Amino acid sequence: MIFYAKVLETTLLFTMFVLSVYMLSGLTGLFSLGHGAFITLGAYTAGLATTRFGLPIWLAMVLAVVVGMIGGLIIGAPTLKLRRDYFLLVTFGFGEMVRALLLWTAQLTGGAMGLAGIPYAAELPLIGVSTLVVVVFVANLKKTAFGRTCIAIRDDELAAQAMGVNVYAHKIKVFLLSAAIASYGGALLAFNMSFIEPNLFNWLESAKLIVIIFVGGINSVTGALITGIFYYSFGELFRFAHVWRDVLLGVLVILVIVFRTQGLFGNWEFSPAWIKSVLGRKRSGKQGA
Amino acid sequence: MGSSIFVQQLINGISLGGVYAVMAVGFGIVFNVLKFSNFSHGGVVAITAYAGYYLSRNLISDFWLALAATTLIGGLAGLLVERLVFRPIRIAGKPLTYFFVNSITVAMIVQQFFSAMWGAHYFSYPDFFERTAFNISGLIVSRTYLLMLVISAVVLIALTLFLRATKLGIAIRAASSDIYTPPLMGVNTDVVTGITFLIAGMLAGITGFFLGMTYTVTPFIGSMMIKGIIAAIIGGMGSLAGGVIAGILLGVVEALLIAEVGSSVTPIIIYLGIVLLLLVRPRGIAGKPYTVKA
Amino acid sequence: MELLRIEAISKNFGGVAAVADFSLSQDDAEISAIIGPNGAGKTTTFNLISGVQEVDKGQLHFAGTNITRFPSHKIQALGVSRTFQNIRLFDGLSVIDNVKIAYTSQLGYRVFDELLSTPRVRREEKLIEERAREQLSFLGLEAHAEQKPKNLAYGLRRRLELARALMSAPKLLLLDEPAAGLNPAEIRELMKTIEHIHRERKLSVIVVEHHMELVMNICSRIHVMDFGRKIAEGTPQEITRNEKVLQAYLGDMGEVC
Repeated sequence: MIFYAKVLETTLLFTMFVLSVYMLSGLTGLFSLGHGAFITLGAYTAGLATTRFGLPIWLAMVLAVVVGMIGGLIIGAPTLKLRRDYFLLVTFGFGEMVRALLLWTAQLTGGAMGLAGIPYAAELPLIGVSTLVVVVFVANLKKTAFGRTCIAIRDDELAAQAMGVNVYAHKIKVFLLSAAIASYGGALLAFNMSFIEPNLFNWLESAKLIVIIFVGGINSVTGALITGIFYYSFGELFRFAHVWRDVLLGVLVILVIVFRTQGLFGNWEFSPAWIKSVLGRKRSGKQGA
Repeated sequence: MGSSIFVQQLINGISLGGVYAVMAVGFGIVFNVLKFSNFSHGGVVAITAYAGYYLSRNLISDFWLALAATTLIGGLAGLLVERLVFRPIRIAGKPLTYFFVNSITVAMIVQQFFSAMWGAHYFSYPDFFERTAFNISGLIVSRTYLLMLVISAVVLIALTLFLRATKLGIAIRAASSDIYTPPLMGVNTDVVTGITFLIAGMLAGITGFFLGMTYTVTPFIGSMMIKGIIAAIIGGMGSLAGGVIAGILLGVVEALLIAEVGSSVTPIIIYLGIVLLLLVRPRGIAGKPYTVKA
Repeated sequence: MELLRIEAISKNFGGVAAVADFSLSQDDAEISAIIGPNGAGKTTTFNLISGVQEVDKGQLHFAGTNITRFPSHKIQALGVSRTFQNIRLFDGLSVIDNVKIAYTSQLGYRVFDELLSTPRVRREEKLIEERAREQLSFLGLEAHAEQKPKNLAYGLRRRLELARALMSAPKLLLLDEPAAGLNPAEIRELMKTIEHIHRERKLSVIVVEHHMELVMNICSRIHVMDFGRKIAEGTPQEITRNEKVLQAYLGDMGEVC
């Protein structure tokens, strides 16, 4: 039972990471190949705040989010004005930089040996509720002006700007929100695993968060959610297949993009409106019969 | 730092910089034609690093033949990636986003494939030459580094000649300004993109071989591509010449920084430098700013 | 009353003058046209007015505000809306959501409200929905509200761009070749639509157009451009009789005269 609870915790955490990338990459079309750096930043801020400075857990979490957002601002402010490729490439570098920074400050962070003894404070209920809240937030944002604006920017920045969208400001908002969720999740991860190390998230982990969204379909939060849960729980349950799992995922991504570009779930969302429409169809079907 | 150590580091830096330059050009040439950041380049680099290792350990003991064969394998890998992964979405007219996603996916597949196969093993290339270093008036120059420098220079010059003087080369350059302009000097689009990937793949082959010789071969060798990408940014996206200059510059700065402040701080300084550069001069050394047509 | 004043603006691309010393004054209730041969700088002029590109020299004033260095989203918020020559819709959004985008600058709620989906958001979303439907039905697109723009016929896509441009209740509407690619029946309908918009919504319109019947029939003032410069300005009658225009431009378009 403990094993399955652990699997569930990890799966939920990683699903939260997928969601943190969803708005940024799926809706806005911005790719952060160093997104793991925000998770790492959050984890280390939380870990250091509690183990080295003796701060209470809640304050450590707040601090983690703040540090993550500051990191986002440093990276986002110069690059989000430029062509998307710059953002992508600099975030990739940022991931490497955070890792180098942690190794360099070994006296404080433990360097390559990692940071141990972080209080175990994030159990299933906290992780579950947090993930749920993030799901609700992302779903809410997607269906209002925020989400529409993201998609408009993704499709045609110039037209969006001419239609009154402050493209730069919106991109910053999306990125900071994404960084905030990632670093919050990172803090939870630290409090869940009690031990963290600089190689927690390399570029590959960040890339996986992105491609998972494309398998599910960039226009579907539900798709990102289901694909994420499926992929990460599978990985935890069948550890021996860990690396081959990624090869399979990669092949699946390419097949999906070539043959079903809209993703497995297309525009479909699991929502009250959808349930209503299904029930409605059934009812009218019965009347017809 | 003594002056002889300084010169030593300078030479090493220039040599590694030459490899970065080749990488930047391989990355840049695809960027120019298809306008997306091609991360699969790192995947091809990794494939060739392994292939070069296998060839030189088992089949070919001659340095030049092994290098040539690896370059060829790189070219074929590049062609294959284009054919399987990029051509279908190019013909379907998909947005650039999907090109990028496919390219990181290829890099991921390659890295995880090697991890799954030989993740626990570290491979190192054989010593091709009996004499591994020269002593030039007190300076020890590694033969590998010298070869790297000379070959990188020759390759880049050859590529420049190809792009300027041959019909295909000119078609590739024309495609760099607009691939969808119909008569690319009478060469069809499929051929132009195919050749572009072939060239990029061959450059990846040379890179992979040299990186394999310089470091040990691990599944993560493909992420060395970050150096090429950094060079491409500093040089100015879209400018091959800028990428070459920036590649060499990066190699030198890196070597000197490592000697001066140590290898752990060096990447931090370099990445901060890039962020600053983008704040001050986003177009890089030689790049032109992109204009969007309304 | 004067709504838009352009004072001697210039724009160069790689040493070539796309627009040179161009001036124009537009009243708050007129329909005018900018005409000229291909490459005369008409679309660039629109890009400069709407802030999509920045002027090199000269000034732009809109409704008493100097908008010369404004980014395009701010100019839109002040009341300038536009369409594009090569239709630029958001393919990932439904038809109605495409229209809703133009409301962004007037949005009352903030990210925080959206995260929690507060009543305020729901209230305003309802209002936006109504307003977007209004635009759609105004242009006869209400039946397509939930479709993706890609699935619309060409003429409908043009109309959708118009609906989107009207969503923000602009004071000035810039139409970049609205008749391009339309058949004669559609063009006649478009003319009616433009006049209707102008009358109903009391807004000022500038069109860039090659289709002379449209220009001559609905515009009260015409600016003629050639090689980035204004070579003539006047009423349709004056323009058709202007020697310079005949030479530079209308000479090869005999059917107009």
